Amino acid sequence: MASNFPGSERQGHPLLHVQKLSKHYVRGREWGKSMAVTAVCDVDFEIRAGQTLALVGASGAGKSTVARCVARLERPDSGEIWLDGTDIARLNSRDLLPIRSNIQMIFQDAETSMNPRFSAAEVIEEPLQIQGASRSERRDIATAVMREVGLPAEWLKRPVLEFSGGQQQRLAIARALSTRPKMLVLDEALSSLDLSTQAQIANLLLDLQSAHSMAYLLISHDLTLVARMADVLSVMSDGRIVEMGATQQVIADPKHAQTQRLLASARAAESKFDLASGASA
Amino acid sequence: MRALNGIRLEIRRSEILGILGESGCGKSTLAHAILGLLPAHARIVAGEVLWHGRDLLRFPESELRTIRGREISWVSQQPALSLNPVMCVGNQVGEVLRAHVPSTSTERRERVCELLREVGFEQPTTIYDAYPHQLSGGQRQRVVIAQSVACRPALLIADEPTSKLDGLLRSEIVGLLSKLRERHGTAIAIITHDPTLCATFADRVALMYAGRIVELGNSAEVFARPLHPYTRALVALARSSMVAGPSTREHFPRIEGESPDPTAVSIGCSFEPRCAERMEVCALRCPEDVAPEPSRFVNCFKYGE
Repeated sequence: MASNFPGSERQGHPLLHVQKLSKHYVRGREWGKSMAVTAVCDVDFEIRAGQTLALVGASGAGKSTVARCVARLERPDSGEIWLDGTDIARLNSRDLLPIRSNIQMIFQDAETSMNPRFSAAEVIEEPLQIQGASRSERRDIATAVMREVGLPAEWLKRPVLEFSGGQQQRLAIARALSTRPKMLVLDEALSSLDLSTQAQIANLLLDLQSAHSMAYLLISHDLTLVARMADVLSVMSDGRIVEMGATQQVIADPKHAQTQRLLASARAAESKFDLASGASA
Repeated sequence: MRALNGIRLEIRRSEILGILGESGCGKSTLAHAILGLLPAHARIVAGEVLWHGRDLLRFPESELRTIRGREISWVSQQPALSLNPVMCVGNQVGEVLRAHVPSTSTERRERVCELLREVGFEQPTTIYDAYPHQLSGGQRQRVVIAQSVACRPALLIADEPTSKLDGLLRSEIVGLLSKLRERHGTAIAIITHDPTLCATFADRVALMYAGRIVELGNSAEVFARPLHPYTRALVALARSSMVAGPSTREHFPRIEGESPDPTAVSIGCSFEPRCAERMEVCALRCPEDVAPEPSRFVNCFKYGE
């Protein structure tokens, strides 16, 4: 049945397999009754090693909830999350500990996802320390991942606050890489960056993916980024996946109304830009 | 450190001017300087900000307060942070009116509902009593816009009004701002790092790099024929990030090097280290503004001295 998923013609079984994932939030009480809001409902998808699946959709569609459940920052109400042969959906925090090194999350705001009083070395080494790595091991890995994300290893002693926005996002990637994860969850990880920094980080992520054959779950509202980075594009609306397919195919021939709306708004902006800048082509 | 350097800029009546640049280039500092909202440790060492022929920088704070919000207003990047979480949004829009226009509370309430309807709320009376946390990001941004146009300002300065919004909401907010300009002739200065937004929305565009305006002109002309090497690299990058076209796993073209360090002092052109067309003179001194076309200026040696 896994063969129903787009992209499954590739070799091997999926690294991540999400089945019937659902999550409700309780939103306050009215007349003594708690009000449940369904954030995610019956979501299925799979991602293979070296592959990227993008979740797009309007704000509030449930993309981030899926991301947070997959990284197990939230506990889903029902459904299964198979990561590399283990269902992590119901694991408690102690059993999750060894799993966490395999799946790492990168957030939109690098600045608020790091302790501002830490140095770069402390930021990168913290997950390793939790995993129980020795001091010299930690130093070696920190130096290596700094180089991988294109930051000079001498900057390890610098406090995070002295890094620019793009450099902080590189540092967040370095921290995620430190445990050698098989999977990265990128929750709008590029959306608060400038266009040129965004291009640099996107290129870096593409290079790292082919070097380590990591799987990416890419949450984004930017279709241009998705068009370049994702093998599979899935569109969410009101907590459900309403369309999923090979990225280029979905972009060329969107079937669901929500997909068509998202593409139309991106294209409308572009077509005017194209008119304005047509002569420079 | 010097955040702004020799900025020369005019905003015309009812035009939309795009101020385009990367983070740290000084575009928000420029907006704060115009509004007299610079932090206490900032000094304006030279220059003037003329508003109807009078220098705003010489205005006492009390007089500035009568202009800010009434004649020149401001839309911030983070509507969630600029709204008071424990005050219903209707009263927050009304606050602006109370500060500038003598009116009774019934008049104000009516006017606020009118404003809320104008920014696209179909049931303004319900929204009036809502608190910010009950609204979505797009709705909050519309409330902030209602605040900022409450006194029909002649100039609206919008700092990245859409960067935190998704594509659908972005076109909605841009459409709303265009409509307000058409209806009331409000001039809008929009600060952004998104070239596509400038190309689609702005009449003229000023490109900022490391505290300077490196190119300024009609946005159709600038995007069709970018002159400054930085503008050209940025336009190429924006053109490359189109939905249709690239295949999966194709790298983005990149502007070489890192964004400039604002604390570093360079004697030459600040784009020189990253410039694909650098010449010997570029590292030695700063270029002057030259006007290769009547409605455009460029800060680059390539176009003469």
